[in-house]
Amino acid sequence: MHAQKSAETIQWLSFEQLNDSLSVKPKKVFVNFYADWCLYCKEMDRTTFQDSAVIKSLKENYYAVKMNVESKETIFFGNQIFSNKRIKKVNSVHEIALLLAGRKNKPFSLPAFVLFDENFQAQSRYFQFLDEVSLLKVLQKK
Amino acid sequence: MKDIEQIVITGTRTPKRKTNSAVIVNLINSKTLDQVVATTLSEGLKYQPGLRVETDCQTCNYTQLRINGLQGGYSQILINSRPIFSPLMGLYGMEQIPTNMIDRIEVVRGGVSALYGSSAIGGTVNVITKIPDGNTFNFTNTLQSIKGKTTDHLLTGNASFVNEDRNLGISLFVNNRNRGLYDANSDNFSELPQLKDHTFGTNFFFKPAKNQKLELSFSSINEYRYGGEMVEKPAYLAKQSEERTHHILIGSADYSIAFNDNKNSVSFFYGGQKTDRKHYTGIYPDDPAELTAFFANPPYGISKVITHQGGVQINHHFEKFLIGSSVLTAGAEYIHDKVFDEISTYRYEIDQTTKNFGTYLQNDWDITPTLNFLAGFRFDKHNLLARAVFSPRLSLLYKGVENTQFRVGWGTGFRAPQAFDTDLHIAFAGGGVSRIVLSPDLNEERSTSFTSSVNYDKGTPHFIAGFTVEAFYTRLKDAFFQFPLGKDEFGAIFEKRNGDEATVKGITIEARANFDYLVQLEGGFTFQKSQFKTPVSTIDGLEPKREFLRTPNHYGYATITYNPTKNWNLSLNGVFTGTMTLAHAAGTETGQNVDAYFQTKSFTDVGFRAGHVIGFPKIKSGIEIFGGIKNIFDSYQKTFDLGKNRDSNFIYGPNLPRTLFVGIRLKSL
Repeated sequence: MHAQKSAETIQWLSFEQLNDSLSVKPKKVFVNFYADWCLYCKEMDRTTFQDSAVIKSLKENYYAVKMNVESKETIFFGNQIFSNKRIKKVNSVHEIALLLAGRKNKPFSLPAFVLFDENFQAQSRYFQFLDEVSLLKVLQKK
Repeated sequence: MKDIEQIVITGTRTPKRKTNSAVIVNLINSKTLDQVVATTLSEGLKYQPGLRVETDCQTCNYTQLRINGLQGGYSQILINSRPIFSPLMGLYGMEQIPTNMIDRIEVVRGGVSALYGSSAIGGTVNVITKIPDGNTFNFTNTLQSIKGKTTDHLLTGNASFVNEDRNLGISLFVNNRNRGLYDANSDNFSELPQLKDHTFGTNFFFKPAKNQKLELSFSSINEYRYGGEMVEKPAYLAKQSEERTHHILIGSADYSIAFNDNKNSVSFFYGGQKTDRKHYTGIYPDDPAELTAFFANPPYGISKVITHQGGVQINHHFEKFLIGSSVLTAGAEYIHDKVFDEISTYRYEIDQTTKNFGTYLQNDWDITPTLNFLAGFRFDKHNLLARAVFSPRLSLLYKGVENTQFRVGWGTGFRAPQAFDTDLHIAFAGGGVSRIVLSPDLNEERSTSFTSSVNYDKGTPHFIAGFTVEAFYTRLKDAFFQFPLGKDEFGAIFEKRNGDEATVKGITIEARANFDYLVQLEGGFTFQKSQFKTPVSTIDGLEPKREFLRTPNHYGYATITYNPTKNWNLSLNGVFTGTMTLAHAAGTETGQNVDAYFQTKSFTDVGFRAGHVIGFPKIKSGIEIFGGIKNIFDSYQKTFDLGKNRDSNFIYGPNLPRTLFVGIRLKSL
């Protein structure tokens, strides 16, 4: 099955924009972590995230957040301050990404997606390439 | 709003070993090649478990790759998966392929996969040339100083372009190398030859549709190589010398198409190689009476080698195969290789055409999620063999224990009764030239190999570490060896014959670790034994020996990389070569008066590199300045033969004495 290219695009939010949005109106949240070195992330940008059904589902039901895990910015979110503690090191990963997409006994890896409910409780996480069919299933899960 | 709960903290993007493959594939990428300051393929392959690169000629420095202790001819070197590394390229090819031509090297030890060809008994090395991977460039200027006496200057450039849709890409590389002669023992005869290399090439891919891919590659290698007496004269006026001028063209084309929801795929492939070589291998006569005859016909020669390989491969994915699922691969390939090499003065001529038609079938069966069974076979019809050879190969992978894989493998192979790399090299000894001829009764050599291994990798948020222990056992039937046939007016003649059985067995241990990307460690060590069943004589008059010559029982390597910050990279690397036995032929005034066996000492070749990147984020570029020392402790052969009558095979250990290097690289970030 081929992705249906859509004229519309996903309105990706930053964590700070999410903070503001959530305080106005609670909604489910889809977080997409990426890095410049992550080829699968780029491939998903070119395919999965161009799919009209995926775009529609994200638009209607989610706040879609995208974050470069190597970001150097300090982020205020949920009354906390998060920063990248390893800015000067190779493969620096931002605190917020480690917190949300890190796993016990496993190295941090990308792609990584985290889904939250309306109360901002983490519901599920995915750590692999997802095509439009699999991502739709994930997004439509109750 | 709820606060986020702490989940865990992690960090890695190490390309982990393929845990799902029944055959272990080791990888060397261009980053590693850079950190060990490998200028050519031969310098890079040392940093792989179970692999050893040796220099075999004091005059021309041809190199051989030994996998699990087996000589060069037992390994298959592929370029972009094509066996176009011809028998002649087996001599200098590894030193002619610059590292900036290489994207990565895939190494499979042992002969347990049917896809790689029956002659891959020791293993297979697949050199993948630079693949277009984005819009990048780099240009590097490196200067090496060998013991402060000889300079080696390298200019390399790479560029890659990929369009926005990522369905079309092209990469280019150029390399220019200029190295002078190096004399280790001040006899005015070189130990390292002069090299002048001009290499360039390109890789191209195009995806006309999502399920189709066309790949083309082309490279041109030009090399001038001279070793011997260090005089500014034509080669034939030097007291002893080897001079080679190579023009090599390499090309490949692959087209693959997938259909039926990616359950089926077909690929068509072609690879080709053409070498034109002019060479001189000679010794200036001592006796003035011989001069007229020598000048009338000095020992110049030519070589012409052409290789073509083409074939087709079909994959089919069975979603249900008895229990579990499987991928069935079937293929057919034809290889045509024509080698012509001659020096009429020595009445030396090799005019060999080999044709091999091979078909193979392999079933990669996931019986259960934790059990994989890879079974395959090949049929090869070689024109120098009366009957087709059947080579079955089996391997089993069990991954039922967390973080661990157990593997066992068994396979057979053969080598045809033909001339390979070393057979095409003319060596000097005792003031003459020695040549290798094939015995008229030469038959194929057969092999049976077993391997078994345990692989363990554990990752935590802060580190990832693992080890592999592999045991290998190969039995060669009718193993080839070189029998000293006697001497003619030009020097010694050796005949390539079938010997008795030989066995190669041992254990290779690998370890690796990565701590938060700050420190990365990697190492491998091999303990092995290689013996003929009945002793074999290599020099007339010396007791025959069971052990393989030039084959250490212990060898290994280690690399440590430290990245204190993004902009600093420090690496330390070492190669250990254990003691081994060589045959040393006598020669007048060479320092060696009798033919004798020689036991080498062991060598530890340690190198260091430091690199610093100054980035210009606005123009997405950076400058890297790097420098360091290769072979810091100058662990190098101490006693070489002297003068024109030297035994040129008497060379062992690290390929370079202490060498300083500095370089500057302009690159995209």
